[in-house]
Amino acid sequence: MARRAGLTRRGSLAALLAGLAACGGPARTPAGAQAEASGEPAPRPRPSAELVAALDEATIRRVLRHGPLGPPEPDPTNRVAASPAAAHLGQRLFYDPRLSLSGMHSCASCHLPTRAFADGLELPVPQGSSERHSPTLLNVAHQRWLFWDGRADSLWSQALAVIENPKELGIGRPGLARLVTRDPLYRAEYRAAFDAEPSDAPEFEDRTAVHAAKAIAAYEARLQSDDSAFDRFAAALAARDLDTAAEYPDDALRGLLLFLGRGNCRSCHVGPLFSDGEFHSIGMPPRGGGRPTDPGRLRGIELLQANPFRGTGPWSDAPDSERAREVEALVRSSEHWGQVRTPSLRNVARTAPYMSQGQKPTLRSVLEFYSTLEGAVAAGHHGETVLAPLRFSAAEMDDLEAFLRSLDGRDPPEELLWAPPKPR
Amino acid sequence: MQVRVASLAAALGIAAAALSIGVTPAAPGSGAAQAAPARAEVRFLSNGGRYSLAVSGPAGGFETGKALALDVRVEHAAAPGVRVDGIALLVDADMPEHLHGINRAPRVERRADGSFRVENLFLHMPGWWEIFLDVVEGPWTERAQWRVELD
Repeated sequence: MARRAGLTRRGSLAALLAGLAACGGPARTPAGAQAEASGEPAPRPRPSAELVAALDEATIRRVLRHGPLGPPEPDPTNRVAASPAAAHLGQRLFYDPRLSLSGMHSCASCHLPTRAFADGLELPVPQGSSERHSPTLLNVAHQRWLFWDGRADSLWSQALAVIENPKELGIGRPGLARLVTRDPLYRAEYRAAFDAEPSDAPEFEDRTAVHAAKAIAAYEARLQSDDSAFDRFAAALAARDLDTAAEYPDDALRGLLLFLGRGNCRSCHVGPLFSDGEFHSIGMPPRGGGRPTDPGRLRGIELLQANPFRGTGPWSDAPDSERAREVEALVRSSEHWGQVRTPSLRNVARTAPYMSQGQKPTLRSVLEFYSTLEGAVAAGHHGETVLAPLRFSAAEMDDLEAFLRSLDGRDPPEELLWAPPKPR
Repeated sequence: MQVRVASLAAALGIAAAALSIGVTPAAPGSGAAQAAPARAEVRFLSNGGRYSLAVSGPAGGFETGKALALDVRVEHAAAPGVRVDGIALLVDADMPEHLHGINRAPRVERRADGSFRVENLFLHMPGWWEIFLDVVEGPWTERAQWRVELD
């Protein structure tokens, strides 16, 4: 058995828990086992300090790779990413329906603060038929690539793409520049954020629109959601504070160990965001059945490398930075067909439905898919083959759901959840 | 033929299976590992036995989801310590269990002393990776490969 990691108590269930970490099977207390043997209903295993104390060092190390969340890496391509003035302007733009051709939709139409900055729909339909599900914006600044296919490499580039897309907001850079230039409040807030005047003259409209998008990005970067039950558990483990760690629900802990162990979910859902930030195909059948039609990452890389608003482009504030140059190093091959970005699991219980087209309505239905792979479609000759039916029991799925719910974080500060009030 | 390993194979995350290509551990603390304590060095033969490669990487081992830098020296296997000139080095990596490779192309730069600097080797998932170092010398291309396990 692995060496203890300096915990202050020793548990009598060490061997049992080591096996649990390895195989992901549900833990049963001796009392529960006796009750089952006698024909009585087995009590649910209860939280206990012993359960936590039995965690071996390797398991603790794996847990701590996923939390606490911490701040996102700065985006050097956006010089106002941390500017309060820019974030204030961006927040106002985020909630403004004048960003849409119809005048009825804003960024917040698909990223509702009341729905964890997602929309609860399978597919959004602001201006027409959208093809992919709206992901949450909570913790979005931690994402290296944006959109399901990763065709944007910064939050500001992502925001611009939505504003350009006639199926989404659609007013385009000229429309955005016009709005910011001609609205006196925007004009004043733009001046405060960029120490410059906005302009919708043709030769300046791109600059103004890019600045506005960078302001939206500065706002979105503040949509941090941490301090989940899991984060508190991880922080307590890091501090070797066994008593606080033992407050983590035991079903969530069993689910976590299954996640890290037999489920091997961390193969893709790894790191503080519970995502590797990269792209995979899990054989999820498309909406309406048939073979996959979404090229996913294969097309996403092509679009990204051709995008003038990428990190190495002329509108970037750090085109030579190491982060920006990652775009040029991306490998594009047929194995990327159909791959979509690994979604973060933070706040996942609040962001149904799931998958890139909203194919799965509940967490349970997602777990059932991984359990059986029923209906899975081949990813292609070079596709990943690591997935195999996991054959979860009902109790195991209960535990996994409990663990996933423990990833619900605290909402961003209330003042970020709607448009800023207009000054009197 | 077997080549002596500089040290710290475990610190570089090299699995036992990789050592079966003809590499055996040597006493720790020798060579480049002493000169640059933040780096750990391993040696192994190319698959055809023509070359001996000395590879140094971060002493703490490979980390999932972080761009990694390696320093590579290629020597004649039959004449240890004698650098091979006039070669190119190609670097790639693959996850055999997943049937996919890396998502970012590593940068390989040849230095004035004939060694190579490899940057941006980005292994994005935990699990078994094979790192491929292909030595191109005139009409010959010979692969050296190296198994690492990322947690």
